[in-house]
Amino acid sequence: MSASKSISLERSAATGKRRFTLTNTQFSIILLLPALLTLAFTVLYPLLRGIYLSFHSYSLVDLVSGIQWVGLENFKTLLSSSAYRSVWGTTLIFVAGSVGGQFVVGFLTALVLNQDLAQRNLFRGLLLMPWIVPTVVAALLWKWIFNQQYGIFNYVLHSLGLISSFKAWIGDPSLALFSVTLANIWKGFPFHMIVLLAALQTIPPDIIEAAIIDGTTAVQRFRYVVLPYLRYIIMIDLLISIIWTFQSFTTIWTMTEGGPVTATTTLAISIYRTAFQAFDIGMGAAIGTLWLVAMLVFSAVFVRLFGGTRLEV
Amino acid sequence: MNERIRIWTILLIVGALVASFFTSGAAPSPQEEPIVIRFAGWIGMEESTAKQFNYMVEKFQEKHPNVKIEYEGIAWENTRQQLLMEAAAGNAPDVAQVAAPWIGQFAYSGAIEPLEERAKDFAADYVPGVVESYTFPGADGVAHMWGLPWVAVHDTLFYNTALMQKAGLDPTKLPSTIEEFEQVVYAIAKLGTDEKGNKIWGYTTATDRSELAANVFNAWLFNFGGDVLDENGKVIINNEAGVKALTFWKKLVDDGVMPAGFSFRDQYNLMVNYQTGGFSDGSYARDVLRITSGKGKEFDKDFAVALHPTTLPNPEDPCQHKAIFHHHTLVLFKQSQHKDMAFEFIKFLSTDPEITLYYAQGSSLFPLYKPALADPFYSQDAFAKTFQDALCGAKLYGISKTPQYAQAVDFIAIAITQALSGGDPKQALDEAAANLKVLYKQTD
Repeated sequence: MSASKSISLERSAATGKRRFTLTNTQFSIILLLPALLTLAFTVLYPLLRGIYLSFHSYSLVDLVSGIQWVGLENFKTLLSSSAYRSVWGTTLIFVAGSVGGQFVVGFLTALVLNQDLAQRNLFRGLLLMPWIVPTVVAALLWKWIFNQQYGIFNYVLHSLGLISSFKAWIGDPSLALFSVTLANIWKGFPFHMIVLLAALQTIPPDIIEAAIIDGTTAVQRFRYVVLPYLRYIIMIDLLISIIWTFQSFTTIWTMTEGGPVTATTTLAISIYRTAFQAFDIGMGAAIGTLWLVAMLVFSAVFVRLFGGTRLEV
Repeated sequence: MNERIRIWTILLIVGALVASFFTSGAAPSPQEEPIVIRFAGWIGMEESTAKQFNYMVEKFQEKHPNVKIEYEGIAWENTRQQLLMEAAAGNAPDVAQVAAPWIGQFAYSGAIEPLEERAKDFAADYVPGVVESYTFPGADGVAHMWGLPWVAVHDTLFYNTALMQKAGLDPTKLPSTIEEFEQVVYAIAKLGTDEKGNKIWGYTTATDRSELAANVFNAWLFNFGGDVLDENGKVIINNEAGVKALTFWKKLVDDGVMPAGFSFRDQYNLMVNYQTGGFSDGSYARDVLRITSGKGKEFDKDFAVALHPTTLPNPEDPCQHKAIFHHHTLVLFKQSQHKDMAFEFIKFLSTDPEITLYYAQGSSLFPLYKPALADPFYSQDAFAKTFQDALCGAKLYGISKTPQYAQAVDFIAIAITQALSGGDPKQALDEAAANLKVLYKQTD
């Protein structure tokens, strides 16, 4: 074995002492081992434990009974529950609204910041602020903005004559989901902006120039040159954002705790309420397991749909 | 070179082992080691009570020099979750501060120790009704006393007397009935806005989807003659009295007297900014208002407390003014390695006359132990006296003695938010009742 393919710790044969030889693969595994073990303890074990618990009855207010096998009972209860279906509906609206809003605002700001503007770097920095602000701070900020008594949102809309009386933006079930979605759009759009801005800057200028020479309009260039070029970045950007938004907890919990009524109870809120407020760990784990399966299927379908054909540029 | 490293490594390991042997030999014997009691609760985390708790610990440690009290701070809202998780993981504290409405969840969890034997010499000396409320069957089906009462937390009404005066009302005449309450809060709400244009509410309380909203509403429910469960545990929240209580709240919201979707903690800001006519709370709110206003005791002249308004007959009888009690309660965990000393500590907190008086004077939290209440302070201080008068009407509601408490209060909070945001109170309570019946496995 050549020196480049292995790391030899062997001693000379003449001394007769122990030899120790590692291949590059073995050496790489040893180097990776601490990280792999950490991941196994912090990600893999909780994941497997969660799946295991989803087939069991386990309540923190009944530690005497402990963990008891119930098979598919938790899943049957969930799938026959209208409240659970309603949670999925709320989650899908929240995710679609948040990701859609974040993507559109992020893309538009990326397109603007990709132009040759004065103070471009300053604006890039400023527009990153919502992303930099800790989520709980942003959520508290929006809670104040939406406050019915002294929130600026009501004040501005009322001053502009758009509303006749102050609204309970996070206290009214018909407005609360819209309000937390709006807060989440504000918090998350810079991520899309920065990803798409970076991608826009990888488009070779000569392709754009060629399209201009061919007489294309700006819309045509965007549709037939820019978008296809960004296709894979957009796919990854959306996939990550959708998964993150499904997991979004802090914003909603800080602003509404899933209320009023159940207007903002998403899957993440539902799991928390079930597992850590009602202390039904088994049922909470079942919600999480079904969610995991749904996300795996969604990711596979999403990648197949949007990443199936390689674009030749 | 490598041989040298190997030799030095071996020498170091052997040296460390020898050193550790001698170090352990020099350590105090088990008899000399201090007993460490871990106490968990929110008392040391809140500005209004932290100083008092440190004093209590100091005094106890003076009495028991071989004991060290180790404090584990848990925010009020995370208490149940954290304590039950710790118990499930085998890492429960020795003793903890919990709120009375949670007692059923701890009793059924199997994590806490029954206290009737340990407290038999002094349990009868607590204010009537409290120890009885803490005595019910847990997971083993046998009735036990699950907690030691610490300090009283039961709602009365805090009225903003400065706003009452501004509205042309006599601040010395506080409402006793629901009709009188309506007159006061509507008159205050009529003030409209303050000089900065902020709306002035007649009454504010938790109306969001929270445990506190459910608890405050239940006090109103009692005063309309209703309850969540009857004496036999049957769900009755949607009976006529229940609908009347929720319809009353809805009317206050619809008339712009009370805000919907309101968070409990915001009430203090509105009170000190003269934007609300009043709110429902326990005695500790006096110190919260003193701190929030930045005026200290000076702010006391701008509010007054009165028993909860009621629709029940004989309003002149203090016991007809109902309240739900959230008394701070002390529990002993089964996993404690020093149960005797841990119990000694919570008994000290709950019954020691000097300690309870210090706590009452510093934080406006009054004891429930009758010998401690004999101090003239409790009858001479008008504020304290109102809360003493309110004790006889205060009760723990039925769902608190069940392990399903958290789900039950969530169903109630959902009904409240549903009715206050345009829904029909009867329909909202019918839905809550249906959910509660499923929860408590009641067929009818």
